Amino acid sequence: MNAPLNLDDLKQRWAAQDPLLERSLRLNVALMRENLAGKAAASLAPQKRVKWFELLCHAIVAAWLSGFTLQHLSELRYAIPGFLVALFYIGVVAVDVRQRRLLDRLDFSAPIGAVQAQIGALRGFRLRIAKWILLIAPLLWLPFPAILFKSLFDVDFYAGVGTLYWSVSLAFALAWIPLMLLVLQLCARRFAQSRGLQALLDGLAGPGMASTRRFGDLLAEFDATQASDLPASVRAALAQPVAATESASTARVEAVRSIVPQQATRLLVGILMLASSLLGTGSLMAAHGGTAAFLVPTLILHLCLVATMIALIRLRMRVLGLDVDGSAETLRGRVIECMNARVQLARILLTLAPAAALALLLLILQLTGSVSTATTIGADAWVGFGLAIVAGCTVALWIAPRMFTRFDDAPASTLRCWIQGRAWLRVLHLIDAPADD
Amino acid sequence: MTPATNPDEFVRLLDAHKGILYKVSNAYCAQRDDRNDLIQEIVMQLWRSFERYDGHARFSTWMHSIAINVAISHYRGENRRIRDTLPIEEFGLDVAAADQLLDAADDDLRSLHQLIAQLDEINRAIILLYLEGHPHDEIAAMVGISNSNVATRINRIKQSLQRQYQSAGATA
Repeated sequence: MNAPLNLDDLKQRWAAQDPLLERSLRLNVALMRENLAGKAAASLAPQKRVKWFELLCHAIVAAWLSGFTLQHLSELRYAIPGFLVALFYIGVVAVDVRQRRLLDRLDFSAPIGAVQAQIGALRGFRLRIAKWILLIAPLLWLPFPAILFKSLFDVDFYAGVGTLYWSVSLAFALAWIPLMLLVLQLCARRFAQSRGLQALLDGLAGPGMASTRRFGDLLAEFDATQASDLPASVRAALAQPVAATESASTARVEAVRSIVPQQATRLLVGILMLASSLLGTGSLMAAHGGTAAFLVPTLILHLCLVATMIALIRLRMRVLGLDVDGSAETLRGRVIECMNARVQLARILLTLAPAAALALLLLILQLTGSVSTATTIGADAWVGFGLAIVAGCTVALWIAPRMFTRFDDAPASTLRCWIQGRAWLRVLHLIDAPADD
Repeated sequence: MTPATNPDEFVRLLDAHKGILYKVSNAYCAQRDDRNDLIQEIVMQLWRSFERYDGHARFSTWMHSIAINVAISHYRGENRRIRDTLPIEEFGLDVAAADQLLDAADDDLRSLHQLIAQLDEINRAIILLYLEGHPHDEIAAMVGISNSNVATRINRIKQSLQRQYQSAGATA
C-alpha cells in the first residue's frame, strides 16, 4: 500500500515546478501574432459563411411556403399543409437565430458553473430539436410533394395518388416515430464507440442527452450543497469521509443495478409487442386503406399504439439513464421520475382506452362481416362514433389523474403502489434508509 | 486600437502566463494530440474574449476561468469550432521540453496528475485552482459556488484522492 498522499506538500512541489515549466514552454511571439490575426479569421470565416447560408436557405423556404399558403387560402387541402410546413421552417429559423445569439453572448470568463450550465442547456435543447426533426421528417414529408407539385408544375398531386397511398404513408410516418426512437435507443450505445457515428448518434439518441443530464445533475449537486446555508454541524458532517455511509450507498447501488436491467428488459418486450402490433395495423391499412370503414378505426388504433409505444420508450430511457454513481439525492430524484413516468403511462393508457376499444369493436365488426362495407355506415353513425370516442376520452382524461396519482400527491394505496412500481418503491426505501441500516 | 484588442499586448500577457495553458489542457486531455488542439482552442477563445478583459481581475485569474471553461467544453465535445488545428509548433508554442519535464517529474507528482484526471470536470477545476495557489474566495468566484462550499469540496477531493492513491498502491 502507498504511503499517505500529502496534498499540501504536493502543492508546494507543484508550485516549485512552475518556473521550470514556464522556462521550458517556448512561445514564438511572431508566429502566434500571425496566427491570431490570420487563423482566427480564416478558420471561422468559412464556417460562419456556411452557417449563414444554411440560415438563408431555411428563411427562403419559409418565405416560399408562407407565400404558397397565402396564395391558396381558399383551398384548404393546400393551405393547411402549406401552413404547417411553413410553421415548421419558421420555427427552425427562429431556433437557429436564438441559439446563435445565445452562443455569441456567452462570456467564457464568467463563473465555470454558470457557463457550463448555459452550454449544457443549449446542447440539450439542440439535441432535442435534432432528434425530433429526424423523428417527424416522414410526417413532414407527407404533404410536401403535394405543395411542391402544385407550386412548381401546377399539378394536383392529390388526384394522382389514391387514399391507399395516403393511408400507408401516414401509417408509416406515425410508426416511424416510436420505431426510430427504439432503434436509436438500442443502437446508440454500440455506435457510441465509433467516432464517425458519434456526432450523429450523440445528437439523436441517448448518450448525448444522458451525459448532458448527468452534467446538469453534477452542477445541480454543487448548487444544492451550498454549505454556507447549512448549520455548522451539517457542514462538519459534510466534510467527514464518506466511509460511514458506504454500507447504505452500496446497498442502494446494488438495488438499482439489479432493477435497471430487469425493468429495461420488461419494457423492451412490451415495446417489441407494440411494434409488431403496429406492423399489423400498418398491413391492415395497406390491405384495406381505400375503405373508410377500415381506414378510420385502424388509424385510430395505430395512433393509440404509437402514443403508447412512445411513452414506453421514454420510460425505458429514464430507466436506462439512472446514474448509480451520483449522489443519493440525485438518484432519489431519478427514481421518482421513473415512478412518475409509469404513472404517466397508466394515464395515457386509460385516456386512450375508450378510443382504442371503440375502434377495435368497429374493426372486429368489419372483419367478421357484421358491417360489410363503408356504405352501410351512414353519416349519423360516423358522427355517433366520433362523439362516443370524444366523450369516452374526455371522461377518461378527467378520471386518469385522480385515479393514478403521481408520487407524493396522495397517500399510499395498493393501486398506487402497483402503478408506481413496487420494485421502485423498495429502491426508494433503501435510499431513504439511515446510513447504519 | 484599444489596449484590450492589441495583439502585442495579448501575446505579451499570454507569454507571461503560458504555463496555465499547458497545465489546464494537460488536466483535461490525456492524449497529447488532443491536448495540443485544446491549447489552440483556449488561445483562440482567450483572444476572442480579450476585448472584454477590463483589467479588474488579475490576468492569470481571468485566463484560468476561460481556459477551464473551454477545457470542460472541449472535454465534453461541445466546443469544437476550430477543426483545422495546426501542429502545436506551427501555432507558435513549443511544448516538447515541458513534456519532458512532466515525464521526468517524481512519482508522487505524476500520480497526482493521473488521479486528478480521474476526477469529474468541476472537482478537477477546483483542485487545479487550489494547486495553483488561488485563495478560496477566488476559487469560489471562478467556479460560482460559496466560500465554505469550496472548503468542503477541497476537503472531500483530498480524501477521495487519498483513497484512490492508496487503493492504486494496494493493487500495484
